[in-house]
Amino acid sequence: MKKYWKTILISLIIVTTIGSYYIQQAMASKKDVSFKIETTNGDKGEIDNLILQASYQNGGNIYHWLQISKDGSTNQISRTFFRDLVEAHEPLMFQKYIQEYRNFMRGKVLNPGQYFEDEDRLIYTTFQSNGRNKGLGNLFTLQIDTLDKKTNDSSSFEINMPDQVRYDWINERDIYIENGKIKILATSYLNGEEELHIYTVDENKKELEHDLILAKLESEERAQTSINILNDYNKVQNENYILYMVEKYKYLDDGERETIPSKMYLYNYLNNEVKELTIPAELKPYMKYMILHGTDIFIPVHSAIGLELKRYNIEKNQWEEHLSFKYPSIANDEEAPFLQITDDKLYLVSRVSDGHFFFIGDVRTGESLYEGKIINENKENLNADYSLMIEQIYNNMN
Amino acid sequence: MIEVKNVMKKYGRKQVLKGLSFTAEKGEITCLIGINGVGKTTIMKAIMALTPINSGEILIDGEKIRKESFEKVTFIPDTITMLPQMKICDAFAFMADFYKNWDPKRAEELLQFFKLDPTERIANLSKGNMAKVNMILGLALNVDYLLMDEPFSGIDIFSREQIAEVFTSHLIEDRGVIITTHEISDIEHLIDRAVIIDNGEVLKEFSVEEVREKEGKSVVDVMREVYRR
Amino acid sequence: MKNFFKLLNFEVNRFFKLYLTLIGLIIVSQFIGAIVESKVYMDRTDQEMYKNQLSMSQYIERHGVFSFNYVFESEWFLLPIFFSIAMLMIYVFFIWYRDWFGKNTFIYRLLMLPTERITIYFAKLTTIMFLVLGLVTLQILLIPIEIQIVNSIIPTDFQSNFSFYHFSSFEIWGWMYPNTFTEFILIYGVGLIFVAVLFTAILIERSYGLKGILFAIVYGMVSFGVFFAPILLNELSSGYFYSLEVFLMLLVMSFIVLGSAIWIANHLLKYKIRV
Repeated sequence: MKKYWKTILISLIIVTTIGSYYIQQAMASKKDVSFKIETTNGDKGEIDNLILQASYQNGGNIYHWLQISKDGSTNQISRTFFRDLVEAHEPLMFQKYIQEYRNFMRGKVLNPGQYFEDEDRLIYTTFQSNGRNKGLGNLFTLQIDTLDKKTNDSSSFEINMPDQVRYDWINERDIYIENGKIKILATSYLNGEEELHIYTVDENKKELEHDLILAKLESEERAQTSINILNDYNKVQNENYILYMVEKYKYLDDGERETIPSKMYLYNYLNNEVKELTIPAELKPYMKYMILHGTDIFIPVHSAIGLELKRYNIEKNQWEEHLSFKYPSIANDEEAPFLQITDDKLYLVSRVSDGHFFFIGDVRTGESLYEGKIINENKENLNADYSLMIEQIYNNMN
Repeated sequence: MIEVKNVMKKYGRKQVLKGLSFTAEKGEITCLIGINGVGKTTIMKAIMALTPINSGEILIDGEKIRKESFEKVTFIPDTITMLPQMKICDAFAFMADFYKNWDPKRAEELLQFFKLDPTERIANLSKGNMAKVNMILGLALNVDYLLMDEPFSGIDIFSREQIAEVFTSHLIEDRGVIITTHEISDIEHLIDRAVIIDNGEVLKEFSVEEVREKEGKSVVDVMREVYRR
Repeated sequence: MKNFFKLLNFEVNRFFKLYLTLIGLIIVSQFIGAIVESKVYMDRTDQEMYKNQLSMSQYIERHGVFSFNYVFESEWFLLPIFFSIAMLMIYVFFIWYRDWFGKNTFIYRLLMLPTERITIYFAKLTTIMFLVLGLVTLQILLIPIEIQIVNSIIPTDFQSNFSFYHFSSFEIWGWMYPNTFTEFILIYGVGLIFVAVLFTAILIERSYGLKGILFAIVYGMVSFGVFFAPILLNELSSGYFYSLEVFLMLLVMSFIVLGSAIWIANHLLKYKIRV
């Protein structure tokens, strides 16, 4: 035994050191950052089914994803290797799809704009090209996969886009399905030129029926244009309208950017009409923040005492009484407030001195439904200048 | 008994062993005789599974070689099988550690007989002394079979005499020994059987005593005969 | 089984002296680095403060506090590490070849031991793992000491907190000191498989000579290919598999690669090896 001392010594040192190192790491879950929601006003039940998909930054450049609900938050640092493998960083919506329709979701791009879901079906569309002719434009094939949610059967068909359809790439932004017609809203690029298309596909004939170009932006020298689609990124059900803005910047001789007034358009899926919206001058600075919700368009105007929601009714073609929500807030330069309008409810998160103010309002009645605060539970683990950003608020019941 | 049956071995393009066959009995000293490069060392290594064979069979007491066989048969090559920086006593300790059949008393006796210092490092030994230590590593093991490759080559005459003395002692008596040499005259009087090898094959295998009595020939005589053919 | 420990102990004893020298080198170099970098920092800071008439807090506002990266990214710190890695790589080959060459024909003795010859393979493999893990452990032990050295030279105001999480901007540290024990086992397990494949390749060369080198290279490439096949498969099928599935496939492949390395080594040692 004596002559084994070197081997034993080395083994002991290795095992004890590495052992204690990892025991310490495991216990350093005390370094976890966790948040919780405190209710200050209103119906606590409002947050029962909500999950806030968020990320925080604690000095450094790393964003840590986490989810906050009425039960607290999911911790990032103590995630084990395997949890990381199983639930990667997909948004909640896709986690649900992958869980329920594992085989259907294989190899699919996780872009909400490519999905449509209703009670019976989940549909996925994707434009594929071989990607080799950059600059000269690729040929595309449109693939449509359909899953019957009740029987779990899936089917798929492909349409070869006509030869004159040549782009560097096509980005799908939305899908609208009704009466056997699939309408795909997509932006296409070729050599700096951007176009906004509505491709109409007949589901039963499995053919491309129509290619409507809503907007076409040519590349100009010393100018930059872009099409900005203001619909809710995460919505996979039918929204009857597309609200989009065409922005243009010109580069001046001294290198400065000059913004040319943007135009706002509304496209109606039902009758294929495009309408240009005239925005009152005083609301023009808020154009980027416009929100489309059902048959209303809201323009949020934040102030120190609350939020004014200007409302435009699309069907009646007129500006209606605006909604006013009052709450204490602090103007915050670093973090823009988060605003989401879903299912007739307004969700707002805004940074205040000791956390984040969380507000839920009713968009039909203008009532305040809930007021609360998202606070960090262990202050010692976060720098004073941490930032918390909300990506999306999900309702668990959907 | 060690049986070598029809062993073929190719090394690169050269057919080194061409169906070599012979046997070595326990209690006898068998000598493989042949000029350099004829395959003697190769077949010894093959018996110890230190080099592969292409076909044929090698059996030790009727069995193919396994790990237990190394307590039954040992090989003393012409190089030392211990680390040069080891002291002689370290080498003995190593053997004691791994071999059940190591006899430390006998090792001690042989050490004294050869007049060697156990604290000497192997790298510092003269060629003759190194050969003696190598021999102890084989002889102090209670094995049934001892394979020795050129035990006398390059050794001074006095060391040779010492080693030769060991050969006639009880240390060798009951064991089966296979030795190779190309200096037959030195050891002719010690060996029981001779196996004459040329070009990877056995030319003649015979009992030394028998041939001397019946035909009045020495081993060298037989060799001359056989090579002339 | 017992023979395995005997051989392991034997190999450990063989490298021990060199190992201690290597450890000594690392310690001396890194400690000097900690001292030198702290002093240089203080000199620089003092100069800057004097030149621009800054108080300590003004300086900190402008330039921030001392970052341990000054030490951990200096040559004093990194050179011994690279050197050790090079030494280890060499030893992977040396641990076998030294028994064949030189005045050394110790391989005869090893192959004639009354033990399964694969035990030799396992003992040498374990020895390499000891070497690697020993150095990994050494670094874990040295860092708190180096922090102490730094903090004894620079005043409290300039000191900063150190966390193993934000160790250094070099990604390699994240791989060597992963956050969870599971990841540690996985990463060093892959390292083990890599060494095992190298060992088997060495044995292939030792069994077949010149053409053995060719076989060995082919064997290495095949092992590499088999191991990464799940990843390739996933790429070719444009992400058909989920991460968990790819991981499980990789796990299976690693067992296959490790298993075949050991099986081939065993076969070679028993039937094909040449001295």
